Amino acid sequence: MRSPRRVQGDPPFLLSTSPPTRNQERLAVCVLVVLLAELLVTAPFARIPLAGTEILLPAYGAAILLIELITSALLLALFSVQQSRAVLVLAIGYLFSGLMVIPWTLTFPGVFEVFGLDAGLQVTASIAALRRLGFPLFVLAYALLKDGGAPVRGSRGSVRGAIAGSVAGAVAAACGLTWVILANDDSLPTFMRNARNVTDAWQYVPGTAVVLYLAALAVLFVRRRSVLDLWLMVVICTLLIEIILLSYISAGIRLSVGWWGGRSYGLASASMVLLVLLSESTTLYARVARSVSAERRARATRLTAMEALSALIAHEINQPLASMVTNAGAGLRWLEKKDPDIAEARAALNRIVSDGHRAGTVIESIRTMFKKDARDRVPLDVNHLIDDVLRRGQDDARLGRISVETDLEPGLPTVTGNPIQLQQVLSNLVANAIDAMCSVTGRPRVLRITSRMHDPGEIAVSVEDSGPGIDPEHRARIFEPFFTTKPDGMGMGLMFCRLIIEAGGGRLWATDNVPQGAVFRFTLPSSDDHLRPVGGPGR
Amino acid sequence: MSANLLIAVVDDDDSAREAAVSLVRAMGFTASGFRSAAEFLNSGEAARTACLIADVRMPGMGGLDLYRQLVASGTPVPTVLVTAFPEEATRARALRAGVGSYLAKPFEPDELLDCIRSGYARGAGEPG
Repeated sequence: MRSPRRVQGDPPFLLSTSPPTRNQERLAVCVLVVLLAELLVTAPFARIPLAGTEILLPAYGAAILLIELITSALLLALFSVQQSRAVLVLAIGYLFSGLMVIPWTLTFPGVFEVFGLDAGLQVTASIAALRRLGFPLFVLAYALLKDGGAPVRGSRGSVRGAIAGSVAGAVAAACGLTWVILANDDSLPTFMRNARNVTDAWQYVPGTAVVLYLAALAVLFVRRRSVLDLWLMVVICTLLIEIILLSYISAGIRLSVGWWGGRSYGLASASMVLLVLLSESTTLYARVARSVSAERRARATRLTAMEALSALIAHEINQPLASMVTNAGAGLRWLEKKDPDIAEARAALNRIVSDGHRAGTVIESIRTMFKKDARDRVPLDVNHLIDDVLRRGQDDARLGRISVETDLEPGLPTVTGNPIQLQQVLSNLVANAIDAMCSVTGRPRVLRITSRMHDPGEIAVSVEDSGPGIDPEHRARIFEPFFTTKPDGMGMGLMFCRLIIEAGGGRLWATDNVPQGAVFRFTLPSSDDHLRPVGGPGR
Repeated sequence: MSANLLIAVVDDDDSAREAAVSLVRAMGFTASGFRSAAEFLNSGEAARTACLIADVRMPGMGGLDLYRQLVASGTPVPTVLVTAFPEEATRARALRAGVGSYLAKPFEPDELLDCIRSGYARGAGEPG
């Protein structure tokens, strides 16, 4: 997993903010390889003229116009959400490029002659030059703006205003430039020798374009962060291939194989951001939908957790209460005897006292479990806790003929938590592991506990058993309240373990053990080590 | 009643076990506590146990399975199952399996006494 290079405060789940995945990067490289292969295939035939293909130009122009307008609209929608100037500039770049296709197609020599549309020889080439040099400038501006400064934080109205103003500006610029070019037909630079062939003066246009493309590519590469950046880099590469095909390999001969090949790249590059915008928004939408439903599920589980809490209280309190009643009954009977046995009665009363304390401890520990403040949270040595729990559980382990192995990393930093709670978690996991191995025959029953430094600042503890393992059908449900596979289980233990661990900023999950059994693993963040660790709960 | 006969209390909860043992002894029986089904089975006391009081839910083998195991091994000890979490389904299962009584904790001493007496009657033939 690569770390997302998302700028703090940016809305997540946007094309312009979410980092590309490894797969997307691979796909981008594949696209480039395919395009390069096409270039190599086309190159030998590039200068063969294809006569009479003017007829295809209006279709090409219409396709480009439509694609670039839709792309622009989607980018504007993105801007209205993210309010990043960079995205607005890019959207306007696509809009301008799309709009300039209209005069380019209309003035192309020999295309619309039947309608009497025949501008001067240099008009089409001048418009092409504007488009060619304009688009990389917009991309360059996007790349330079995208990380800089705060987004335009404004009201909905001001966003709408910015969009309307920019669109109007782009339309005005396209119309104005076209008018200037048409009106100054005579003073335009001489780009074309005739309707098909370019002059030497034209060479400055592709040359400059190549420089701009390379600059845009370099800035995008250095500042690449999002899915959008990645695909814009592919777009620029495509345009680079296009200009090489159009201007160098086919020597600028219009309507040749190379020229049309270049046009196909133009179409590909125009479609690319659109396709990515569409497919990525679908993917991102799916991701958002998934996380929303996960959130909803989590909320439902939390509600059941509240119900579970009352059951837990009943569960934990009922035992000492029942013992108190039985002890009281026993004490009364010892006293009611013809020859009252004071010692036995006293023993019974003492047990009542300790049951009362036990009930109090349970109430207190349930209370701390849900208490937000850190009053009862102290630095704890995980290894001490493990030793403590194993010492308490050693009778159970011995009875179950289970061999206990530990692999505790010495000198681990402490974790911060409530000792009673963490002890509950550990003893619950240990008890589960012991229970799971009761049915094991024919192979060793091994309970293995390890503690490790996980990631820096995180400690991982695993409780492994060699029992039958977790039924894949149950895997997803074992942490749900009231879910149990034990005939007499309450189905509360693992849910509360997870609650406690997650409240401590950690994670608890289950995996399969090799060759057999289950592993319950939890992580906890390590605390600042200037505090002195406390071992057990200190009874 | 025979002093040689034993009431066995099997419960993993220390406090509950000690309380039950004390109560049974206060009633005049000889009683002994065991922390788990395995401890009871390994103790060799099953043969002289007149009545078994076992908790339903214990780590490892629960009370019902302990009873079944005793029946299977040819020493069906009259058994009272006790639980802090009574469930109708478990109760029905227990009674179907032939368990004499199923009591919810905290049980009334007299109720337990009746159960022990009837267990005695069934198991030892002769109540004391």
